[in-house]
Amino acid sequence: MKYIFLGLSLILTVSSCSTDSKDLLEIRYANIKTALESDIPIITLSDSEEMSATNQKNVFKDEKLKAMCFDPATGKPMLNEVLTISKVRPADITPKIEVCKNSECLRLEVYNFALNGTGIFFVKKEDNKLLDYQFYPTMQGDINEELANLATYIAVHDSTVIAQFEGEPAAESVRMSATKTALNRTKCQRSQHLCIAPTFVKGDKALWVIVDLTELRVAGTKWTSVGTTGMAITERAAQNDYVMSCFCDKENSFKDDNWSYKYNLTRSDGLKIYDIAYKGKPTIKSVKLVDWHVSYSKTEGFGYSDAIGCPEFSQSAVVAVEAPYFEPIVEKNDTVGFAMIQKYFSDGWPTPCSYNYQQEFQFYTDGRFRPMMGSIGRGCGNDGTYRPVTRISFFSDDAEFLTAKDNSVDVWQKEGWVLEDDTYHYIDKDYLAQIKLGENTGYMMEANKGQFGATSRGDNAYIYVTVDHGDGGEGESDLPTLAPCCNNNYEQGPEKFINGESLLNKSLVLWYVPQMKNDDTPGQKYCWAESVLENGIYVPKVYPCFSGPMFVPM
Amino acid sequence: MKAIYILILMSFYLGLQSQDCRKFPDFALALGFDVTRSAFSSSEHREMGLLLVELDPKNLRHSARSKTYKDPTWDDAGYLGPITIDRFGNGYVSAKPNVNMLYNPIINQNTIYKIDNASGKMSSWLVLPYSDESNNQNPYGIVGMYYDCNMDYLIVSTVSGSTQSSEVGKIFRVDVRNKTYELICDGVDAMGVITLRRDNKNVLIYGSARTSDVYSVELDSKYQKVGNPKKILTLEGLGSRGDDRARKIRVDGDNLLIDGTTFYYNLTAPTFIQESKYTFDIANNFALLNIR
Repeated sequence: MKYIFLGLSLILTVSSCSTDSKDLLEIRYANIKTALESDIPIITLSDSEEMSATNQKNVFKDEKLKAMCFDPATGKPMLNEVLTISKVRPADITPKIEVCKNSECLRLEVYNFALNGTGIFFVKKEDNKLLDYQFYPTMQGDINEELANLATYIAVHDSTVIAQFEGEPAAESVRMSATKTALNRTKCQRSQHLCIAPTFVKGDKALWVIVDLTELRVAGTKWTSVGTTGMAITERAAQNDYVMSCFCDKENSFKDDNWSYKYNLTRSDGLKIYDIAYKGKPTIKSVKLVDWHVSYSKTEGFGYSDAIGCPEFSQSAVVAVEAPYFEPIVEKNDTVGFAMIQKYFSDGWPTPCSYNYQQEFQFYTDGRFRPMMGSIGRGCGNDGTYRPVTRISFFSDDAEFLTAKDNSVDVWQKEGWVLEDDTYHYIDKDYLAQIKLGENTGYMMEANKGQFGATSRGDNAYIYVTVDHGDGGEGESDLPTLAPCCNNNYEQGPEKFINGESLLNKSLVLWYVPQMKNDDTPGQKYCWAESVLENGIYVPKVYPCFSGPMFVPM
Repeated sequence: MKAIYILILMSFYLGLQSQDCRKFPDFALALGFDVTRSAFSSSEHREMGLLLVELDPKNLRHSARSKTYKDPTWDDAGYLGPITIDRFGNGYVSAKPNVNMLYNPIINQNTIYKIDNASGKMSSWLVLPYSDESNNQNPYGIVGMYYDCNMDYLIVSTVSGSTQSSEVGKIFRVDVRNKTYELICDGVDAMGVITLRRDNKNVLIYGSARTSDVYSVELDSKYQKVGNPKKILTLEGLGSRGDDRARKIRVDGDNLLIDGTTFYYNLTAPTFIQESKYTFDIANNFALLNIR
């Protein structure tokens, strides 16, 4: 399993870009490194006729500006950049800078990449004295020419842009009459980063490329028709539009030599995969994640019951803003399968009380299947327990669910539930249950006791089995929130479908509710995330927790 | 969305004297709440329903709550949203889901609840028509409410039944004296609403729930729509987000005040309230004056 942290993704972006005679990204990284290693972490405006680079830096030697330069907790440098330098205008003059009525003064706009805010500084040109300044959180000034060129460079070298543009809109060609570019203002509402949108015209269409100048990557793209008006193209608009049109409003399918299935993003039950077949044989009817229950032990009844799903027109509290993606599963240098991953974010994650959830479906070439549910923090406290509710239904009119009891393995006769606690009787030490789907077919359900890797410490799960009537009921269609946040017993929602019905000769639904306790103890962090200052900007550092049994073919 | 729906009572809106006829509720007075710095809030931290709060200092959202009161009936309708108050001291509020629908069944989302001036008890007062079709795309109903002092009407906007592909929202006027209602606009998803007299005409101004645009439409003497809505301004590209919706609209002298917030018909609940206050100059073709 691979986790790409933001810091690493920067490196990946660099290495994936083709080099040319003037690699602006290389230059940018070098400038950032130089700035952060100097006593004043600021990138100066290089082509200013009004003020030398030394004078620009000297402005920041004022002790009052330390808070804009260094993180108060760690003392690490925060990245700043002078965006513009201009002469003070009459309208700028306040009593504090009255001297500028008779002396030449300069106005500097300086963006802080870590804090996402802009400082406006007034300096007397003659002696470079700082007269006054104000810092405006969330304000982003006009970008300078260097950043504009950098944004265009990042856009034209991005593989997604090249694919969508059907060719690389090279820096030279963007100025050709047939392929024009313009830099449009845009907003990155979710990341709270400095963004700009180079826009490339091709025929009667325009491709907006939202470039994140804080992380130095493309944050989103969107085609529009030239000459028509519509909603402004922003990070959120581009992300939502892509996820809605490609995954919420559309059924997708996957097929390789071993596995085939369909999938789409639901309005409140996460990514649903269905009609799953292994080597052409239908096995699992559908898998989805109905709710995330998060309770905090220090405050009785405090927590949240979150649905996950589409970013618009949904009942989701934590939404998908990116497409699902695939990764290979590698064991001992061999690729033994693949995983499909879908992430969900709260705005502002990983600030306190925001959430990041993940679904991961692992498909192995030998027929094993593991639906995983993960929390990437951070939540509202260090006393949280996460209980995701997963629903799995199977293809079989004559399914059987078996668990160990003393020295035997018994078929469940009626709907019911069981808790995987310390006294649980496993089958052959490792298996929670056996699911027979017909003659010599079905799954052994391997418990997650922490053997699947560092991101899993065991599930301590509630398991429910109910009848699937096949009429869209029993939760097959999109489910509203099933249960409140904070029940610490079996009442997690699936029990509402248990009414004593016989399970014999029926299709079955399996509900799986693991329990994961978060931890922020240094060295043991789990289901946790925090912001750390790296390379002058805040990036998330994550400590995921994943749950889920392994379904092993019989 | 954890947007603040605080109604600042009475004297806080000095600039609205021409329109502001609202009366401080008798029950709140009897409980000893200060008329000058008390407010209803439907978005207190970890608090379902409504809370009466006394603010110190008086006019800041994040002011300390020097005194609070919650009637046992105030959480009967789950989490609540828009609030307003009439000239008789009665409060009106509607339900709004928070994070999930557990305490806010969709069938209650078009219900107006009344808080009695004398007793302070909240009860279901009027159910506006709502879509009874199963709809997992839109958890919302009433999202805007305004009390028109000239007519003693509640102006109510609802997005009930709207989906991604179908805009079926409505704006009603409700006569608080006889509890009758009439449709003003149909097929419009609106959030913030306000009615005012301008150039000797009645005008309804509303903010779209689907875009950042704000519209105006003329009303006749019975508050029936005359002509088609006209876009008068937009919040698009403004502020730190650039995609705010006009959640609440008010007039202060010559200025139009708009509380803008993020709204995408979902149940996201950002930790930090994503809201900005925009001021526009009415006389100067709604030119933007400032953003706070």
